[in-house]
Amino acid sequence: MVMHDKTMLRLALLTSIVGVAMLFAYSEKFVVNEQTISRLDELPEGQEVDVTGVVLRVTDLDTVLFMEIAEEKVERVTVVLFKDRNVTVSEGDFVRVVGSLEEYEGKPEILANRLELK
Amino acid sequence: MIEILLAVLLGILAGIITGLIPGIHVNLVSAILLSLSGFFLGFVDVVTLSVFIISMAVIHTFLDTIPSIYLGAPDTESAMGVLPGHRMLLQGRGYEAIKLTVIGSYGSLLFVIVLAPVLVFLMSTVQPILQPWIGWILLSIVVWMTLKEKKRMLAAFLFLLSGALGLTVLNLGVKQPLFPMLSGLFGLSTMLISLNEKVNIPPQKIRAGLPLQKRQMFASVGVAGFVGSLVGFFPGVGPAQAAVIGSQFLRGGNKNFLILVGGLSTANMVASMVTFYTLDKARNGAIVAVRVLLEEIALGQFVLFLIVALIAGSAGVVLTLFFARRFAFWLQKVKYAWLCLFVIVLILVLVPVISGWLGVAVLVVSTATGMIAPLTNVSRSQAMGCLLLPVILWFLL
Repeated sequence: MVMHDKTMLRLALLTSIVGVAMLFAYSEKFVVNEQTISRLDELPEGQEVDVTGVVLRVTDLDTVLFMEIAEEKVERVTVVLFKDRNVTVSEGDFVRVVGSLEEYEGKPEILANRLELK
Repeated sequence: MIEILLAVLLGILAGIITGLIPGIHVNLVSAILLSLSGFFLGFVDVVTLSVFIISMAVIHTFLDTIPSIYLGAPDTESAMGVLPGHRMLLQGRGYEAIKLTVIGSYGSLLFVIVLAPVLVFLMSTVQPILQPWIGWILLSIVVWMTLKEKKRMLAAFLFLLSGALGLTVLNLGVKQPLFPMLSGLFGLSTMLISLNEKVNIPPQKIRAGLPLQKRQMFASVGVAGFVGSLVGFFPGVGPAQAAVIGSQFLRGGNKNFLILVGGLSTANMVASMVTFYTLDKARNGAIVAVRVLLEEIALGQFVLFLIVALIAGSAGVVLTLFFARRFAFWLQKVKYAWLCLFVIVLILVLVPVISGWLGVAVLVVSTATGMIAPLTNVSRSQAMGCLLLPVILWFLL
């Protein structure tokens, strides 16, 4: 069976437009940020992330600091920072975290290697 | 020393596997290796493991054109080479097409290594100046590319449609999203159209000599080396987008374009080592792995990596031509329709394994989108909107 070019084009256009619309409806969020862009470089997990947000909860242990921060879109993420010197962060602080994205017990977690108080 | 040489050799072997099998990307292997690094580091040090990764990544950029051109199953880096390469295959000149990409790869490898000190300087001075302009530069290239088309409205529509596809796919949370998207846009769509036209692969000519104009060849290698390194400075812009940019500056048809496509991925890979050394940024999976292992790169290590790249690249020339000859010989023995069906089935099996079932949906929609350009006689570069539009928006917004 040989399909006529015009039929093929119509079919391709229809599938493409309807398909993009359906995928769009399926995607939970629609943003262009550093993480979207880093996917273009096909960076694997453990990729570098850079997030800014308000600190919601702090658990300060001797050598390690755990934080819950809410990003501007109010998405929560756990941040773990192994301390090499004394660091003080309080709830309500606005921080920027640069680190790598890891998975811990099935949830994403940022292993911070830089923390900036804004 | 023996450890290092052994790592180069093993890297070359691994690169042959990742390069020849469609869908297996260096990044995937690097990520696996990184997760197993605790085990490996019991036997070897971080530098040896990094040497292995770099050797694999460089040889991959040579060999990945074989599945792209012979099978139409591309990696991100060589996606733009599918069409001209595949066209040459159907004229019995598949081997010649591969050879052109090898010339590009090796030429630009030498280009980047020789100019490494200049690149280190350029990167630290030019990058901050260019960074705010890169979105506008990319946008002007897209506008220029669209104005050159005969059917401008259609070309613009296809660019935007592909761009919408790219933006959606990047937001879907699919693993390795580029594999199903680019396989559909540039690979499967080509196969389906060829199947419908009932084309056959003619006997492949394997000629030792290759007539080339020296000036044009050097121009292509130079553009590949320069643009390939330049895009390495910026996030989100890789060899695929560079091929669209570079092709706007090149004349002389398929031959030069294939030299360019071959050269861009190798130049980009080697230049990403320079980016790591000067800007402390990793722009691809292999370098991410090396950066995690090493944390910091010293000048001595940087030079060692350049030497490793040179050794792996030299082996790449011999190995790519060897496999290209072998495959050209085998290809004549199979019917093209069967080959196409084999690749379609292979991609259909690999996509759910690598990207999950949602990846299959991405593959179907991307294939349909990829068929629009050849069916309407619009340039296929417009489909690169899937990678260009998200980057342009990110830089401009």
